[in-house]
Amino acid sequence: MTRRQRHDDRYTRRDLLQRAAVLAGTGVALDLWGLRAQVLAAPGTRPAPIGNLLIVQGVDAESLDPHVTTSGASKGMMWAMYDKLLERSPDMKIIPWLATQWRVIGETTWELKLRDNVYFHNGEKFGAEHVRDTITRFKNPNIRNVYAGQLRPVRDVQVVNPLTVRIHTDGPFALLAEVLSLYCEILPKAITGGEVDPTRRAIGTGPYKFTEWLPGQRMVLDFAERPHFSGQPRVRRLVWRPVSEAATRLVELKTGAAHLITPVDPIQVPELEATKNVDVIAFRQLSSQIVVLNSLKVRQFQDARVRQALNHATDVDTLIRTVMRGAAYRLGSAFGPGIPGYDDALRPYAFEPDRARQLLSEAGFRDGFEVTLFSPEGRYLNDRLASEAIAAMWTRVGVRTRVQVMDWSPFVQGVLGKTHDAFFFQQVGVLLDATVSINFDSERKGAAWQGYHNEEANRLIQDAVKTMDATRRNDLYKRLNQIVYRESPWVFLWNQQGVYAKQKRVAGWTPHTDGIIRLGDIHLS
Amino acid sequence: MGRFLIQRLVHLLWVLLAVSILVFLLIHMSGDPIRLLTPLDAKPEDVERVRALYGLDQPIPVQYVRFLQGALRGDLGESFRYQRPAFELVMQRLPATALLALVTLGLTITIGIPVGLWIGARAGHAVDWVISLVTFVFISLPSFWLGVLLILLFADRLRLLPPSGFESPAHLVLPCLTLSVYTSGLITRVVRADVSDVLRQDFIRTARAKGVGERTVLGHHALRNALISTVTVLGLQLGNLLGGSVVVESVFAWPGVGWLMLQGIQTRDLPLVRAVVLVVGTAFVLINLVVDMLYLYLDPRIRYDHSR
Amino acid sequence: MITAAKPVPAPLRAATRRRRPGQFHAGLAIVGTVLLLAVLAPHLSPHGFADQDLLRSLQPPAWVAGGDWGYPLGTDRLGRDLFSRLLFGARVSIAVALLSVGLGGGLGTVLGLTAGYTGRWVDRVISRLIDVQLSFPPVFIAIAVMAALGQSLVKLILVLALVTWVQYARIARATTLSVREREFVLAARALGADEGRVVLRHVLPSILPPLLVVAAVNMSNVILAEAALSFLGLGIQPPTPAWGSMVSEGRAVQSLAWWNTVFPGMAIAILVIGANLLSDGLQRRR
Repeated sequence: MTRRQRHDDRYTRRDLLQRAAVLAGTGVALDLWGLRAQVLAAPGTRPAPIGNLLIVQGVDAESLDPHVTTSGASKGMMWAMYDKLLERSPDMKIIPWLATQWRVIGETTWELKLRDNVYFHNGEKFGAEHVRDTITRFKNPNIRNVYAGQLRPVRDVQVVNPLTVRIHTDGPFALLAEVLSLYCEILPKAITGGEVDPTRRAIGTGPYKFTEWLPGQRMVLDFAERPHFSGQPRVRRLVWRPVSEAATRLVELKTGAAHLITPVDPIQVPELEATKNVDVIAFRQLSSQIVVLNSLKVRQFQDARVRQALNHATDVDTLIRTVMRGAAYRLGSAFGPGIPGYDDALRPYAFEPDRARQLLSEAGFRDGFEVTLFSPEGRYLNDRLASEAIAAMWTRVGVRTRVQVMDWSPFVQGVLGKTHDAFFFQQVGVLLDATVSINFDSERKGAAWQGYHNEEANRLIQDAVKTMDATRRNDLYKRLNQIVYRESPWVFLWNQQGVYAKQKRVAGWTPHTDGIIRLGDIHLS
Repeated sequence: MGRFLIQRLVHLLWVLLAVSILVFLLIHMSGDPIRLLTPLDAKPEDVERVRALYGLDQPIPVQYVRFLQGALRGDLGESFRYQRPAFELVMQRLPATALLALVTLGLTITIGIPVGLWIGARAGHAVDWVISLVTFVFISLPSFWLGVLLILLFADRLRLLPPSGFESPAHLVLPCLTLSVYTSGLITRVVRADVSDVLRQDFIRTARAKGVGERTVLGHHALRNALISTVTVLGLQLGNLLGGSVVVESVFAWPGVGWLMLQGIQTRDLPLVRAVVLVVGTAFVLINLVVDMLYLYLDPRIRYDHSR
Repeated sequence: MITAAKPVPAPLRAATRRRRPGQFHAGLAIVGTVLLLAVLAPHLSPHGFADQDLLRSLQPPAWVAGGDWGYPLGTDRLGRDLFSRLLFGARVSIAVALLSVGLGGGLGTVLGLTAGYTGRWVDRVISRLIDVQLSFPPVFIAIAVMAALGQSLVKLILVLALVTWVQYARIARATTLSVREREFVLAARALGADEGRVVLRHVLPSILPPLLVVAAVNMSNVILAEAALSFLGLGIQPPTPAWGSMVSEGRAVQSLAWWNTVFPGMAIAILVIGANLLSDGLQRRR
């Protein structure tokens, strides 16, 4: 290990040992390091950030290069160091961030006003040129950026003045603001110019700066000395650790080593609620769990009645109560609340096995048929358990179902190759266009598309992207939702409850419904 | 001795070649790695472009040749997931596994050999019976179960020790304890058996008749023989331990190479798995080499049985 | 971890104890009982191993408050009866143990015997193969292959057999080499007996005893290996229960619902103890 690493190790160890020892003894945490920092801060200046915050997630970042990372866990880490032009509030509304205002000029030009007095960790002052260079880099085909296509409609970026930028697009690109609020973290010239390798060192404008990353072990960030426009970091050091076992994450939190853990298996919630000094925070996630029915493979699924029957055959409420331990919210249609196109007039399919049998009979399958339900193992919360329960329910109405559990890789091959009869799945749904395109558009035949065909749906999907007016666009999605609800190419299950557990002394933080940690004003009280 | 060494090194190259081919085949046979690296909502053009960037669009033999060319220059490729040289990632994690192995070995030797000697000399007595029973149970316990129970007891219930990771020396305790239970049980039994064997033999009786002290009898003769078997077994054990005792590392989230390999396989990160396997394979062969040389030193009568 | 529980070559170790003859029988009794339970599982288990009763999720064992003798050892998070799942899990453990030992042993014996008896380039090739494979920790190979190829009982048995055959082959070859020059073999050949007969009637019976010992030792290793692979999710396909995967499933609730982790682990330990008793007893019998 380098000397630097050993030094940091000592710091972390000492701190953790102190904390663990004291917590175990008296239950009161005396952060000696933090108290000293406060004492040393001169009166009148901002209070120095104190303490180490340890966040334990299920997986580690894939890379230090923000344009390459894809998982929610990675993004949480990246967005502590890097900023995007726009951001999302906890209920996923678009808010200004590095861009303070944005508007559309004509159909193919967006103008963004940029924030002043923002600096990168290496001293560069943020301006329009950075936006231009970063977007160019984002679209560079030699970067392993799987989301480069999200900005394909961008033709060029014009620097009007250091704080104003105009983005010209090929054709109307209604979703630019949405895309910029989720992708394209802004990079300094040191990186876009090639001087610094972003997989080795991160330099952003965020409230925390990069200190060290041991892949698979820990990521360490320290507060950036310059104050950040979103508020000042109140934590001195952030440490992220990946721990893949839910049980182990739980014990880390209970012993006081971790301050914030995610994801929490809902079955652990009662135990957490009974633990002193621990808070459980639950929220309705944007991502939804469904069962996708492959009408290309199973001819019975080509009949909408059969698909509706399966919706009626699945006792979702009981599944939520038992398999998900109450930690899920019934999904009535393709989109849950918070997503454009959500329609609360669409009631969830009632659990009526008799009606299911009747529908099957009407469709000509009174004697039922055989089907295999595919599920990944441990990829989604309770995927296998839910699938096994669902298979039992379908079997009871005559659709004799066998569960086939698979490793993620072959499972994905099956989804893409459209070879699974039916499969348990999750849709993320933040960027709605991505979701509906890959699922319902029979012209584009996207990754998750399994044979669903409706001309009007195709038209609605393709028009929505070009509709600049937000209200009109939402109407299009609402109509799409109504169609998909009626024709049910999916069995609609639930929106999972996102559960975080944290020490009571962690304050100033709210979860976002997309499940990505944005630190905000987090601190240890 | 020189010829012997050269033979072993040639052997090492064979092993490495065979293993690298095996890993290649396995990873490619089991599905398209690129799909694991790209989320489902990525557009197909982007996926194909990224596939080419990873070099995965080439036919498999071409990929393998490219790998060999790189390997000869010391470059084992870049991890798909972490985008860093795979060799670097492995070497970064190797110390943790080595530490685990060494501490476990240390514990095993310091407990196993003395206890084995002690009860070997008292074969048949009550202590022998009790300890033999205990060691018998020790070698029958599944390591992952023991680990889970230890976490439950010491980390969760008693809050005495940390449950996972490697952030402090205290983190070493539970993983090493879990591994040591099996190995020290094993070594105790091996030593005991050898000691009680040796103590029965004629030359011991002769020594005793000649008035040689009990301590000398035990210390010299019994110990020397016991050491031979111990070295054999430990040689095998160390190889396994270095192999990462994947299970224990996984239970304790111990940042070693065993867990790295498991994660690598699950994400089809070919360069990473290949690098782990090659490094571990080399280490294993080298350690066996050391064990063999120790053997020769301890008992010149034993010839290394190389195929003729 | 797979390793020889005793140092090889076994013939170097003399029998030392005369005082515990019951070991072999005790081991046989334990393994035999598990085998019997496994075979009779469908008749003995009060419920199917996949029968869910979501309302009974995480019910404690019968003797604890809240338990029910209809579900004697409690239930898992899907309300499936733990006792029934243990019985069916025994099938996996026993099947894997017996079949992979049989297969690996058979393969190893054949190859080792061939190498030792035939000599020349056959011997060189097989010995090279043995050496190369021995140079690699078996756990690694098993995990890598199972993780790459996916879960399946058949693949599991094959992989474990392929990983362990070398242990038999080495002994078979060594003992064949020594037996080959023994008088009764030379005599049989001098009398013009056909080679095949010589091998079957003279060589094979002589090399079997140490191989049986290896097999017994190997069995306990294989049981532990299967449990570890199942624990890592690399063993059999769910919902077929395997003791190792049951321990893994129980981890999320290990603090509250201890029975999910404790009982499957105990089952594994008991079976391994039986196998170890068997192998110990076998060694002492000689």
